[in-house]
Amino acid sequence: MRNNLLSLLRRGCGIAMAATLTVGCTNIDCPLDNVVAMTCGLYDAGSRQALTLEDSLTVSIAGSKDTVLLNKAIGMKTFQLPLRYTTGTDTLLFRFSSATGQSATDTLFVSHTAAVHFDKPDCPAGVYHQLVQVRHTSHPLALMPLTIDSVFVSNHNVTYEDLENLRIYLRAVVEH
Amino acid sequence: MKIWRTSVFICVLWSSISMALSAQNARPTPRPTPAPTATQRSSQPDSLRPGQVRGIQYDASIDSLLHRPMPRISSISIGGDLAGAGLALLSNYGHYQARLSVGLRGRYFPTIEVGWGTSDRDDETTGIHYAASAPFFRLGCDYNLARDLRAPGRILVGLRYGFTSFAYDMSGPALQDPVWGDVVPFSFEGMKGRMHWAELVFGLEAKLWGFVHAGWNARYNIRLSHKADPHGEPWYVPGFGVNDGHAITANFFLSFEW
Repeated sequence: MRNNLLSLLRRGCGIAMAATLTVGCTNIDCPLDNVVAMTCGLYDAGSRQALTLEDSLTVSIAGSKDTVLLNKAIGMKTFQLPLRYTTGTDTLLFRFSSATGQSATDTLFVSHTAAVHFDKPDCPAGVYHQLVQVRHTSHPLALMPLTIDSVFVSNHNVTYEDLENLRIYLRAVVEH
Repeated sequence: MKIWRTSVFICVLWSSISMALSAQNARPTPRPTPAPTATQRSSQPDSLRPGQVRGIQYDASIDSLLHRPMPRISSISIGGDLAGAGLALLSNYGHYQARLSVGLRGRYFPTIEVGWGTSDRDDETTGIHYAASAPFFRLGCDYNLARDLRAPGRILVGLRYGFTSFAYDMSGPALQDPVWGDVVPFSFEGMKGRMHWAELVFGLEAKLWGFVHAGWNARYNIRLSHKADPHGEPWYVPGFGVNDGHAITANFFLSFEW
């Protein structure tokens, strides 16, 4: 009995040593991109169904001449926009352009809080946001027959998770 | 570097236990039956010649000893975990842990474990520093699977409930907004966290010299509930290990038993 126990004790120490060395070589599971972005989905204001954008959309930052967050995107249903690292209201300009040369701009005001977030020392820290309020403007349809009708927050927490945060309903005029 | 330091520590542990076990094996084994005297020789009923008896003589009545009841409190043991202390000294996290165990009829061993977990880590790649230091508590019971309760060795399985309430710090290089260009500091101190967890324990224990016992156990830790600061989860939780839904840990302990 004693010899068996001593043998087991020896084997156990060997196993523990092997396990420790194995566990020492762990994988680092970090997000590939530590930039957190707000996911927006486009919907048709009439049918309330997902909408594929046929005109082009450019999103830029108000007050900045050359900062474009989304450049002439077309044929998409969702897109991502980064938010500012500090708490406040981001003012984003949505410029719709049609193939016929018409264009108009709406404004989206996104009020949010920002907080540094970390997972573990192996991974770079990021900034998480919580959406507080979203407001928007709409342009006259005479300028451009596509505008923002309404905006709803579907998920207040903007994190690494790829979840839809904003539902942007677009109103279009069908020409007869 | 971490793997190297851990390997060195394990090797030192391995050497120490090997030496201990060698010493244990070197202890004199039960003496063979002495050669009969002239008087005894004349009364021997068998035909064995003097000096022909080999091996260890056992008495059939030993079986009855196995079933003799043990005292209600068969042992009291106090000890400490050497593996955790070694890790605390040589790596970026570990613990100092003491335990008190009471043997009930040699079969059940209610156990209290109290320790101080500590972590101080700087990541070379990200430049992030993590620190935590706090006490932890475990309460549970081991069950001796060995058939012979009076044997100097034990095979133990058990359960533990663990709890800790701690504070942790995390800091690193400031974050720069890639779009707006803002710079946000990254330094948090005294964030509060707590955790409740359960452990499944399997281990072996052997008597080394007199009242000195040694052994090891492996533990599968299951997180039951936890609370962390909104800025982020703690990396190391005192007593539990690296924070996750579960963790595997091991102890190598030295104890004194009466």
